[in-house]
Amino acid sequence: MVDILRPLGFDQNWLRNWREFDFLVLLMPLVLLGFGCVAIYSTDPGQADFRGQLTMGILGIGSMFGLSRFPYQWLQRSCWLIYALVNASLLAVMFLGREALGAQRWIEIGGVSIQPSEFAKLGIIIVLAAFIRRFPINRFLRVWMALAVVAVPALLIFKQPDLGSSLVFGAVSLAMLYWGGARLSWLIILTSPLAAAILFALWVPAWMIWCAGMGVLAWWTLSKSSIWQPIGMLITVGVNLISGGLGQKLWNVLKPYQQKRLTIFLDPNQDPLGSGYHILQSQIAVGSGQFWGRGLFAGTQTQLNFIPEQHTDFIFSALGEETGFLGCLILLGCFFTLFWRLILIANDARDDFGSLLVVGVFAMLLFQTIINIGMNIGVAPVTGIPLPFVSFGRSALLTNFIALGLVQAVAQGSRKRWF
Amino acid sequence: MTQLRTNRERANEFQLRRLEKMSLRHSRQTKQRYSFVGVLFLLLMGYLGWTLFQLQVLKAPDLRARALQQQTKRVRSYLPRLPLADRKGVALANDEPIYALYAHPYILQKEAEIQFRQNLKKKKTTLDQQSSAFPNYVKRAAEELAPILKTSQKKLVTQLGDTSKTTISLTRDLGQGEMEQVEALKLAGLEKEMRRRRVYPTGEESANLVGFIDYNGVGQSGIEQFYNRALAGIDDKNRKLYFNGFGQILASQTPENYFQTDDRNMVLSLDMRLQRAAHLAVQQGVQEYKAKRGAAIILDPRNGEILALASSPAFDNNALGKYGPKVFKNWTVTELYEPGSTFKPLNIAMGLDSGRIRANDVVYDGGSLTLSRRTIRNASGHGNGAISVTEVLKRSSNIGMVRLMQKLDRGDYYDRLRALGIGRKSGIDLPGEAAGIFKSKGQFVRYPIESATTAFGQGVSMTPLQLVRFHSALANGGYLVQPHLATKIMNSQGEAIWNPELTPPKRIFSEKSARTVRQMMVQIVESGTGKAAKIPGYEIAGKTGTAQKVNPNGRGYLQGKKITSFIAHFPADKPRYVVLVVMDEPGVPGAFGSTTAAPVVRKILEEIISADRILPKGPIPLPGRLEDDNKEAAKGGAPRD
Repeated sequence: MVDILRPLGFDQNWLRNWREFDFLVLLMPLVLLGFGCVAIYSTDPGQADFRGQLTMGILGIGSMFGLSRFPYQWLQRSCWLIYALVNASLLAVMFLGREALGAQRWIEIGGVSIQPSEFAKLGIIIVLAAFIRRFPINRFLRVWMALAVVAVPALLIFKQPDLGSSLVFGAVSLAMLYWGGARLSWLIILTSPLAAAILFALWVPAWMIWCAGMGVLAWWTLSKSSIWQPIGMLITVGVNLISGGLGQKLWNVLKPYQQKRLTIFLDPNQDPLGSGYHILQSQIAVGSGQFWGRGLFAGTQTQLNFIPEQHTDFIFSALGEETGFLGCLILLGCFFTLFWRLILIANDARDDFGSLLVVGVFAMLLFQTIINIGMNIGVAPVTGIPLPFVSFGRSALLTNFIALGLVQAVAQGSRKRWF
Repeated sequence: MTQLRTNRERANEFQLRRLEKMSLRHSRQTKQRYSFVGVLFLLLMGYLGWTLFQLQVLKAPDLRARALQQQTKRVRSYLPRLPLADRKGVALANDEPIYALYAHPYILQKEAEIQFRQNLKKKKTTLDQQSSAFPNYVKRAAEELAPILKTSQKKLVTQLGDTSKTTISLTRDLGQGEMEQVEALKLAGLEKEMRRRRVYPTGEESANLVGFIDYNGVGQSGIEQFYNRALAGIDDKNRKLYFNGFGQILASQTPENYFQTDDRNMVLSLDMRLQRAAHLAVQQGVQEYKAKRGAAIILDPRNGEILALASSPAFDNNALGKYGPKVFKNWTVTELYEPGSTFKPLNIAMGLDSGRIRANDVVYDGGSLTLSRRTIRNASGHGNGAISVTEVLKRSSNIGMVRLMQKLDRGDYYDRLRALGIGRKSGIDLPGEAAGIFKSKGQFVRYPIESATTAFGQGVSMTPLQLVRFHSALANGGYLVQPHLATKIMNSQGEAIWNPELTPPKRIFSEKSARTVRQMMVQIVESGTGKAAKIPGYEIAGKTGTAQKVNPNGRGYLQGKKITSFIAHFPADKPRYVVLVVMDEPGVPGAFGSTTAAPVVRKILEEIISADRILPKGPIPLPGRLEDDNKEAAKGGAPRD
């Protein structure tokens, strides 16, 4: 028995090895899962979703334990297999997927619906970590190489359409690039066309100053070779200039209701019954929780169905109303602790691959948390991004636990550090 | 153990070797990245925490108030006004929805564009037809709408096509059925606004009783005015209701019976068949005898229920604009008159009750009599000699009446008149009832002329309805009943949830006196002044009346102006109907109660007989005789009262 399990890291010494298990990384998701299950129970009187979430949570914890002794370095060797699997599953969604709520995101296998884009997030973290370890980002060109790897699955997901998940890909990529050696200025130059487009729409002089600034930045930081220095600068300035006008064009490609959905969070009262409805109702719910909350199962906004699809992306509003500022602080505290551990583990990891892996998971969870809570309280646009461990969504929950399992595996190999 | 330790050491060695090869983890740069990510992370979490603090602590009271505000609404529940029905369920007034229809040309234009683009996709149209998309759409819409709205297609096209206006009003009163037709067209850019309209199916036939409401839904006449509060619904204050996110009312938070208030209706004692007959008879009578106005009242003497009350001129409460305000007053209730001879039977009953008059008394009628320097004459102008009480009534002798009533102590007579209820309201549930006018006891006792004129029904005033009420006491064996129209408010199960509070019947005549007088009155119809009301085979008690008209602007009477009337109790042995017909200022020569009111009463009685299937008492004589009788009555110088 032991011999069979040995390749997975289970040897006779395994009990002693659990001492190195990071209990905070175990405990925090458990608390969050508990929060989530209670909130789902509160929003869904049918209880089917509640039971599904709980079952998948237990399964997820199991896989986390299972993976925590896993020699994760093996993943490097099979990274291209994982990359192929990710893309294949996303293609499968495109052709075989089930359509719901205007998007094709799920495939049915044996009566279970699976959302491959959730697993793809983790898959691409592994692939990118392996890629960056092999090709550290010490030249600007490497940035493009890494982005090319991410681009294929990201575009497949964007086509579904699932804007939220594609944005997660972007955030994860930026974080891992930075951790993998990219200079901050490169990432600024990388994202500068977006800023240029927005500035052009707001105030043209600002846009012009921005373009000039980017030129200076490119001159100093992109390359020191006599040929690439001016070329890099020219391209940067050129792209920024073009994207000013091009941004307008691309923006107008979006239908007015789509445009409105992206900007309405700035002032939801413009259209309180239309595109602003969701944000406004969620804000009202969170706010009317006040300090102590209305009490579990007693939030009027939640119980009276003022917030559509509340058990998934808007689960935070239910918690905000029923558990109040106190509950929200505890929730934020859990997230904070979890993320802090993740940074520490990433910093203390013994190898680059593990470190990059943990940073990828950190970026994935942090970005989703910030954007989800942000849209629940009206400081971020409404995009389909769930709150990790809390929102209803079985594929996402399992993915997150597997990701933490890998983090545990990385942590096992590193020194313990208290903070 | 040892082997395991070496395994672990070997692994550590491997890791250490890897560490040396690492490209990322050696420099100052790593620490910088770590701090940067850490600071960014702290800032983001801090921002979320700060925003939450703002929402849940600083703005929280406002937001909670906002939650409550959208979950509750103060609703003034719209209760349809109660429908009115007659005793048999015939609808007298209904509240029905009508709609104002508005169009928004701008939305119409948008819809036309959307349809055009869809058609373009399906290749049903070409791009060059874009400019005609909207006009075509408007034309189609106008084609479909015009027949329903009953307007011209051309006018609709210009209205709907005028995109310079945001809203245009198409019509103000569209019925429910028409509105459904419009909705079935599924046209974009139309908006409806519901109002309620009061509809009176029986219109003019019952308008004087039912009344009407004004634009604000407040009753302005008739039952609508008298019972305005009850008809408008009990629940006229606004209440707080709770709503969920779908805009549904939360039933558990809603006051009990909130939704159960709209299925009630008010039932009147009116019998539309009799009312229609009375209305028709009065209209014809007024026309035929060129009267200024006329009225007919049918009362059930057993309980005071008004079965019919028709008056002329009438008005249609569905279209009020055509009439002046004077018509809307029900003069049988609001105006006083001196009843004249129709009051005589009541005097006889009082006399019999006092014991000073006996049924077989005989008095001398010399044709005229002077009291307090005023001369009283019979209407016929000549005396009748020594006549019995029955004859006094049959011939409607004024002098005979004076002689009879002089037998009573004047104080006692006055008290009896007061006990009858002269000078007081009858309690009818119609607005503006006038109390009768009657002089003081001192004046009545001091001047013999006062009691003398009262004996034949002058110098004492009452409304026509009050007279009917007094006669009811004769008809029902001596009880004074309260006349009324509304009998109950019914819920949907047919249970009465409201009944009027009526004063209990009060005995004012002995049963014997009442019967005796009624028997005398039968003689009046059989062979006296009331022959024109006679219906072969049936026994009718009746009395004619022709009164002088009081000058409303001063003292005395209007020269040559008369009010003629006829009152009947039917069937005479056990009356179920008291019928009064009054004609105000009939314009034909020789107009008396016997010639202008009695025939109208007969018409009404005939309708009562057929409506209630009342069997004749004896064999019906051949029709020829009746004709003769009537002719005789018409040409034989008209029996005068």
